[in-house]
Amino acid sequence: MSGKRTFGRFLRENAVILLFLIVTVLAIRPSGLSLVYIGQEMITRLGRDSFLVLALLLPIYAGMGLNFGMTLGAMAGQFGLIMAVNYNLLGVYGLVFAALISLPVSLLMGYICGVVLNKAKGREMVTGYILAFFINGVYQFVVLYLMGSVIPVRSRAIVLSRGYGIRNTLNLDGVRQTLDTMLALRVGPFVLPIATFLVIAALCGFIIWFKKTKLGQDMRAVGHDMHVAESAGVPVDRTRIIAIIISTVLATVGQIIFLQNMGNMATYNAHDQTSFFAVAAILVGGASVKKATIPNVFIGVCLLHVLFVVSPGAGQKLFGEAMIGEYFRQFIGYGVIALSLVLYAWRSRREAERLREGLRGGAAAEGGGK
Amino acid sequence: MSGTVPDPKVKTRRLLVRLCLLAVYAGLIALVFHLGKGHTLILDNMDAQDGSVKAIESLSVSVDGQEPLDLNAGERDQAKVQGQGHRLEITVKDGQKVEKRITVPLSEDTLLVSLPRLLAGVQPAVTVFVPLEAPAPAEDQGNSNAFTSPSAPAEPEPAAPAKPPAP
Repeated sequence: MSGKRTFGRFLRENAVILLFLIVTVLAIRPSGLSLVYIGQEMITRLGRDSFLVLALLLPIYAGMGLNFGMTLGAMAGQFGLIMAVNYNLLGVYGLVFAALISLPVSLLMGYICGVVLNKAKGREMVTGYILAFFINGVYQFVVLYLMGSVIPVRSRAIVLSRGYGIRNTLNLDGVRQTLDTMLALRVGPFVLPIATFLVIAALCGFIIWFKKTKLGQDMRAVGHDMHVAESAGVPVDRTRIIAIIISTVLATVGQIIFLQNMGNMATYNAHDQTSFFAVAAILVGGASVKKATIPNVFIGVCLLHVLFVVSPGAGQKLFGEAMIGEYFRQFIGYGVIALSLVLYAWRSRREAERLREGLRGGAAAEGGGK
Repeated sequence: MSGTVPDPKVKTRRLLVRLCLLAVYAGLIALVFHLGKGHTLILDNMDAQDGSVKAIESLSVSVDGQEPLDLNAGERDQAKVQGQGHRLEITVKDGQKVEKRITVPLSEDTLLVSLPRLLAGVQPAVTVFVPLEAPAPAEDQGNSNAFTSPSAPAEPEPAAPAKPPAP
């Protein structure tokens, strides 16, 4: 009986990850792709996306849910990359320059986001999502109208022919895969981007260390119960703002790492789905709105991206059209987010009911005792 | 939080530290800019316009240890480089190998390196390359609101500056 209950609990707690694992395993064979190819793609995408997904952890610790406002950081990163291309900065220096230029912008964006989210406590996720739309408008205004007219742009190759505004697509040849190829190591049929993995490992180390600091402990206290933390003297609003600022800055660096791997940048919509895919990945990895760990990030990135790799092939084979697989990606992304949120709400409700019943039972027992 | 007014000395020191940090940050950006700035070197093996030097019949040149580029007389090729100081290894037809060092200005993106001048020691061997003005491509104007089909007549060109009447 107890084993059955434990198994049921395991299934409930890992429903998303198990469902995803089953769909992925089933899709591998019809895709017709070799395991070596899938493995290499997974390694590449692990380097490309992990940093962005790790940026989501701190706001979850602080009880702010999934930070859809990380798109603000992604936009700041893109601004830095535009500047690096504008000044023709190459290699790792180009990436560092982009990060240095975008850092003040992302700090400001993170602060704005944190202040706004503090005014919408309990509705952080949807507020972050809408805030990203608003700041997207500001970004479009800056990049489409101010760059080249107010903000000087010296490279004519990136400016629209009308004389101001940045072109739709930027070629990042100067910084393309510089981090990935800096310390590339071949192990059997696989090429490992060691430098990228080291950067990701450093971030993991930072997160583990940060959780042990006073600020990290404050963040967890705020995430556990804001009112209790406030009563204990933790500056709740300030702590939440710091969590969002760090997340935004990490998203900035993550977007730079992501785009250097891609090698080109869709100036006006590269950031559109940054938060969406990062959130989908961490949820697939077994995280929830309230709880996430570093292993969730890596499991999620691997699973989500393996499915992304195999789904076009599987769609072609099963339905005779590769586009079905492409639609499948979107469907899976949104579906996973929806399923996770529904499961989370269902679990919270059950937990509340269980506690209520426990209290009633306790009260009844006390009453009976009297 | 405690409501105490910070000591003016502490305030000044704090301000100074912050200013120093800002200066270090700006310095770091400048350093990265200096080290990472990319340039395109156009390696030119042509006669000098003033006739001071003649093109070399055949040579190969390697910039900063990159793959050597073979150039016959009257030819040009390009190499992408990073930073300001560069080493050129020039091998002329008879097997004679010459190593030359050049410094390129930080602010310029594309520079013309006259190899015959460089070999002859005639200055200036490195000059700023001024590209010919070419009309910008018509696409990617950012005007995605134009609902015209490809077969529709093109929009009129902006009026050209008036030419003086022919004599």
